[in-house]
Amino acid sequence: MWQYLVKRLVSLIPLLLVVSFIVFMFIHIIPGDPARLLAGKEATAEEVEMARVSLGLDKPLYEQYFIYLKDLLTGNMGYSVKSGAPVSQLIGDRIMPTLGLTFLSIIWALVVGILIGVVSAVFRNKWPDHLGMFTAVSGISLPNFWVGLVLIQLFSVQLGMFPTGGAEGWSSYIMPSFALGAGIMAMIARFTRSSLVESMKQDYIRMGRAKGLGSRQIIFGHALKNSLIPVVTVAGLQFGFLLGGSVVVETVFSFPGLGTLLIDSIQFRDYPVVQAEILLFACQFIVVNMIIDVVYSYLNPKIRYE
Amino acid sequence: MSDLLQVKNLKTGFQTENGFLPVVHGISFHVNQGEIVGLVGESGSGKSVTSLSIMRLFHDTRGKIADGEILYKGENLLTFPEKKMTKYRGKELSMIFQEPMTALNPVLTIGKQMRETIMLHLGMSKKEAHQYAIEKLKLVGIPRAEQVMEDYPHQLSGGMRQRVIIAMQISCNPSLLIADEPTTALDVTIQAQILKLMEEIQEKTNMGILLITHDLGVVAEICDRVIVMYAGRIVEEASAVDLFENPKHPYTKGLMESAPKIGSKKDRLNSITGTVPNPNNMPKGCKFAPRCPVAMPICHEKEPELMADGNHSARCWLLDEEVKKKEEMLNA
Ligand SMILES: Nc1ncnc2c1ncn2[C@@H]1O[C@H](COP(=O)(O)OP(=O)(O)OP(=O)(O)O)[C@@H](O)[C@H]1O
Ligand SMILES: [Mg+2]
Repeated sequence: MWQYLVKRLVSLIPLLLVVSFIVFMFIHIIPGDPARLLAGKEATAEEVEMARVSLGLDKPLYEQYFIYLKDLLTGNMGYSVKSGAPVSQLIGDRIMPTLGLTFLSIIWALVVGILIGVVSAVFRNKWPDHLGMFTAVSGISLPNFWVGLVLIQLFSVQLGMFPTGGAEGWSSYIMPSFALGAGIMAMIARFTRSSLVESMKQDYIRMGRAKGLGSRQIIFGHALKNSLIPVVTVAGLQFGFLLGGSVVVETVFSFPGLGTLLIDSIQFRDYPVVQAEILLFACQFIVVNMIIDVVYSYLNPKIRYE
Repeated sequence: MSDLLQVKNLKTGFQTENGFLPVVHGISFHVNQGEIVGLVGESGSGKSVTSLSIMRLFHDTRGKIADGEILYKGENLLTFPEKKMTKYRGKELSMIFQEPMTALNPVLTIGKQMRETIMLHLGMSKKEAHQYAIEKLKLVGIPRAEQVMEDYPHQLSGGMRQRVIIAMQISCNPSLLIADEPTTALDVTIQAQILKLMEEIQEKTNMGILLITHDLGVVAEICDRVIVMYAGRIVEEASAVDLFENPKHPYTKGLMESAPKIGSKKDRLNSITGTVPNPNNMPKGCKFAPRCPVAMPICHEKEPELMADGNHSARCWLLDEEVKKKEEMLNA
């Protein structure tokens, strides 16, 4: 297991290099003079030249890349054009709320999704199943911003249970994280159901019954772990896109996270910030995939031993 | 000695779109303690459905026991609430399946799957169960048993897996073991080893074994008594010795002529032409008549009863004195 982990981590290095190179090239690929882009819309000709030298843009490309890498490793991601503040600081202020939000929505999606799936499978073709699958289909087909708006209307405006937006206190996380996770939750519910129904037909289930195991042991001790293998694969892909989804949901809830920061930065053409965010999104995708792989290998011993 | 298992008039079938489709038609037989009884018949004759009925393993299928009694040590299992039946499975009566490759859970270690039963039925702690499981694995001839406990099923060969399953299913000392074609999926040499193992275990524990097979060679090897099944009915029953010396039913004779020597992988019953009739479309009289080389007119009209001659019985019109006389007159 540890060996596998280390192997996976080492295999990430080239991937991270490629990603960082693409992100580095971002500023050079956008049409226009990078120095002008980085100096800002209102900069004078001298300011642009100063920016060119101070940012090292007069140096050869490969050297620039190494400087960029070195800066990255020391946590230096440049300065915001808009406010002049270090990008790392801007990101640092916003990263925790967004991580909290995505983490919470993953928990929602997994716990509630698997629960609905199991209940539906156990009560196959009875009313809990129909209810569960109706919820799931709704969750998949409704866009998350709409779910967000409905939640705000219902629980904030009508019932006054949760704040309409912001990130003050845990209660302001509940609705956005639910809106963000609803689609994945629904998908997990459906996959868990069909996968569990399939597992219950396998020979080892009948064997388990012949051993004298009760239904609870059969479902939770034997069938579920097998059923989760395909679920993890599907859910993992979805989790990778969560930060993207958070852009929309954060906007709906005026949530002070990376998503709203990204929107602001794009509107202001604050390229250093946009660049840093892209890097973060890519890294998040990679990290999530890595975690999924580890979970997958935990569930499926055949993978672990290859 | 009193019967360990007594099956009386068991009727089992499946719920289909066109209603209930019977597959096992009121069969009766018994298994004594310390006895190995063979249940023989071609594919589709209802052997597995019979064994699943005894274990009451029709969860998540449309199978249903419609009638009859299954007396285990005098208690009718069919009247047990599911909870009580659950306690009996694996502890009192236990079962081994045909497919060792898929009968073990692929994502759990052998150890986990072994301990589970032992902790459940014998109330041992995890540690005790672990030691106990290792002993049982050694008993069925698994080398490096400690190591195998940590392995996953895919790391073991088919023969090893079947040994593990045997160890698992006898670990709580059941009085009755049902083995549904335990060697069919295995290599020839492994087949013989597994049979020998089962015989040894039977001698050590004195349990009753219902051994299901389509292979008369296997029966000749280890069974005390034999039940021959055809199309959901018992067509002949006798001690193994009687059956081989003096088979009465043309179906049994057919099976014997075509029986491969033990171990050989040759085509199963090649000297009986045709196949077992479909449960949807059963012939009117004797179910074997359409394939029977010596069928008489009455065979197509009326189904014969099981006719006993001492401990040897068969379901064939040839055994009926009157029918026989008539037939002889016609031929004369
Ligand atoms: N789950 C099921 N649903 C409907 N019919 C079934 C089911 N299982 C078995 N049957 C039918 O019951 C009959 C007897 O099947 P069974 O599996 O008992 O045969 P068998 O004697 O064990 O054969 P084999 O040697 O192939 O294992 C067959 O006609 C089969 O089609
Ligand atoms: Mg069978």
